[in-house]
Amino acid sequence: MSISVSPRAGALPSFLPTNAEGPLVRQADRVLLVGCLLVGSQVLGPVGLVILAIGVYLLMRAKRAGEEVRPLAVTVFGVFSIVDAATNFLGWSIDTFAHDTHLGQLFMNGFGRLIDGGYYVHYNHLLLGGTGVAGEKSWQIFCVFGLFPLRIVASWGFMKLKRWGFDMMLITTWIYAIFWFGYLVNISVDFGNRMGATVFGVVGWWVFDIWYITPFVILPWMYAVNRRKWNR
Amino acid sequence: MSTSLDNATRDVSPDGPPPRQVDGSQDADLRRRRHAVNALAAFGLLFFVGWISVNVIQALVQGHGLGIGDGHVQPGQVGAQSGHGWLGDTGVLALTVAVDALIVGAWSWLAPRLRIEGGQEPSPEDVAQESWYVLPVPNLTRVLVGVGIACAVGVSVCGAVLLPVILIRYGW
Repeated sequence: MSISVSPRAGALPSFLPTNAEGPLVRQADRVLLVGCLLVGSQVLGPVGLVILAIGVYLLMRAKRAGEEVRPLAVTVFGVFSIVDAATNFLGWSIDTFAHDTHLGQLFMNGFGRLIDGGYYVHYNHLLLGGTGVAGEKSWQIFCVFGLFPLRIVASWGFMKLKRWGFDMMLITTWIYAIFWFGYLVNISVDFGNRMGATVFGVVGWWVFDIWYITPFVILPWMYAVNRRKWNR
Repeated sequence: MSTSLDNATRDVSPDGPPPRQVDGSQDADLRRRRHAVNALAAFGLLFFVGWISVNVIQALVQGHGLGIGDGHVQPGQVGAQSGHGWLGDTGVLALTVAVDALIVGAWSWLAPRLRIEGGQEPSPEDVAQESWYVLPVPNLTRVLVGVGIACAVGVSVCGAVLLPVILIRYGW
């Protein structure tokens, strides 16, 4: 798969504006969205990956059919951002709203003992329930109500080449990068009760969490692209 | 790579072509942007290498171990996992999904209405002829796309194995 960086003439019907998307691209995007949501559900992640691969195949088919297709990098970064945000959004939503359910406690306390001690040490002891670490809870509320749902929306707009999608993607990418910094300070100053109080320790936490580095992957690239291409 | 530097320099301004400059400052702008993009990419790598190193040192100094067969779970910290029964828990989880959908719906209502219009937008026909890049970085793009795909797979696999591992290790 090559990364297209040059403009390409589309084959849309003459009555459509030059920046309109074709029906095959729309179909492929719907499949990609389903794949993202399945991966975001965590449990059905591998099924979602297969659906995502089918979505990319459909995009390539649309390109072969002559429709104007965005560069692969736009699709990959859009999908990656939705998957990242959706996974975090769901996990932290359960800790925020469903921390009293059996499944919620099983999942969070299990995750806590394996990866991050903040999810079993003093669990459900704070005012808002869930994690027993006040700093973690404040990050959660910030992300569940603000960052992650906005990033899901922004990533979708970004993939659909909407101007607001590009702008919101840039905003949320900076917020997410700075969030990473604050979050790592939060977890590192309480090291003994977080990474240090788990089965898999430091290595386990980083192996599990290193995949959520979307902002650092996307940010440099976003300053290399032509923003005017996002003009729908 | 069909993008020429001349073509790329026209698009440095995000809201339309910049005024013509005859002193070569557009090239200078582009060079500065390239330096900044490279700096951001390098910082991303150094940030994680640095922080992982700090955490490993913390683990070694505080005697917590790295987690490779020497994890330190605090005993007696996990209380009884009760819940509200099957029906109650299902209701709470359904409500959680509904609230999530509501939050995403609220943002998806707001975000498209906050489109910032540029002063002099070119026509879609003109934009269609432009390059996707104001700064051609094909090698960096390939690396970042590769990392992006690997991370999406990583998120998916780690997310999928977590619940089964918890169930196997700690039971229902």
